[in-house]
Amino acid sequence: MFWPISHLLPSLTGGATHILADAGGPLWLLPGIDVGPTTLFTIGPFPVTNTLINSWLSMIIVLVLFLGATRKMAIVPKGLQNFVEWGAGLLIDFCEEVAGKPWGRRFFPFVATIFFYLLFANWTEIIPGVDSLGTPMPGTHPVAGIFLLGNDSNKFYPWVRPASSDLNFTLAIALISVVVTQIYGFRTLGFRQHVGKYLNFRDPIGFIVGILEIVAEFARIISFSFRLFGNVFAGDVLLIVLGTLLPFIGPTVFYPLELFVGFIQAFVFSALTLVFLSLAITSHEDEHASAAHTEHSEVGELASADAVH
Amino acid sequence: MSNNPSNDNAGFYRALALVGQVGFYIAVPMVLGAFLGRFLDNALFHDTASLATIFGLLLGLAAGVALVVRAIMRLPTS
Repeated sequence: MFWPISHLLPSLTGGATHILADAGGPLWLLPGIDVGPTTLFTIGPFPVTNTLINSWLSMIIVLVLFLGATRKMAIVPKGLQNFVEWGAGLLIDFCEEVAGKPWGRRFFPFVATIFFYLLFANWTEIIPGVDSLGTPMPGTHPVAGIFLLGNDSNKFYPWVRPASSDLNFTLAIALISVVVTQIYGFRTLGFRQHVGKYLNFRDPIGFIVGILEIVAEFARIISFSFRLFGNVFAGDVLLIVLGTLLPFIGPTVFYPLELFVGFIQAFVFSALTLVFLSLAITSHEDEHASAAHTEHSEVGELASADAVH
Repeated sequence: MSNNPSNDNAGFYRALALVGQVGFYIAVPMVLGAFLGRFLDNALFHDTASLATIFGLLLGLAAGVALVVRAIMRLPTS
């Protein structure tokens, strides 16, 4: 049977309005978007939120992936082991490039842990069911016991929400990153020299620079946590809204974008941590010395170029 | 041993890190300064209206600019 498109469209829309009329309203509503997470249950005094569930989920994914890849290790890697070795190898090279060979190797475990953890925490955003499976609020009437339609459609508490769309999560990782940076600073420079970076009473300019350093540390915590939170939360809202406005088709365009954003944010977080770590182990004297050294070598190069001519 | 790796790529990554940081370096000190000024206005000088807030805001702006300049000066030259 052949249906002309002009006949098909009105009948489809007519059908839709019929369903809407039956339901007494729209088929589904835009989900309520909260900035804060929802507490699902409490273990003793500790609230367990849907973003916390996601952070545990990401831990399990990272653990399973890396334990699975290293369980039966072969000298000539194959399959999963090969893939994981490739990723870790790229990161080691990156660490060595930024922080130098010996320090890059020492920073690698910390930086790589942050990278892979955030990568999978961000990527869970696009798993179907995240943000859309949950417990119905009291007073709702699920169709067939499981589906919420019409005016009830946004009245539920999601079980899982992307971990990085919760400021508590990103702030926690930012604090870990900044505290570890400080610990490395104390260990390599010693107490006096490291504190001297922030509190310098020898000259007024040094004192102001020290105050600036303290402000910069605060700016670091805030920029780390808000950059990741803002990007992932915005992506999450984008996927939710498009899934509501244009189901099935709308979000597919943005899934690759969210994969990309999730990767970039994980990379930026770990790369900044690495750069700050490599700055923390450098004293001011070292910095001046190396700047002087660079100038000196440039002068030397110029001189030798002159000599050639 | 110098901790400063002086190859070009390290400089590139540090510059890249700086790009992600500059906005916050300007914004955060201004917000901190404004809050400090507001606290001073409310708690200490009851009759200065918003003078301390404005002063704190400007001080924060100066600190932010100084932070950005310092961060750029610290980049390895190549």
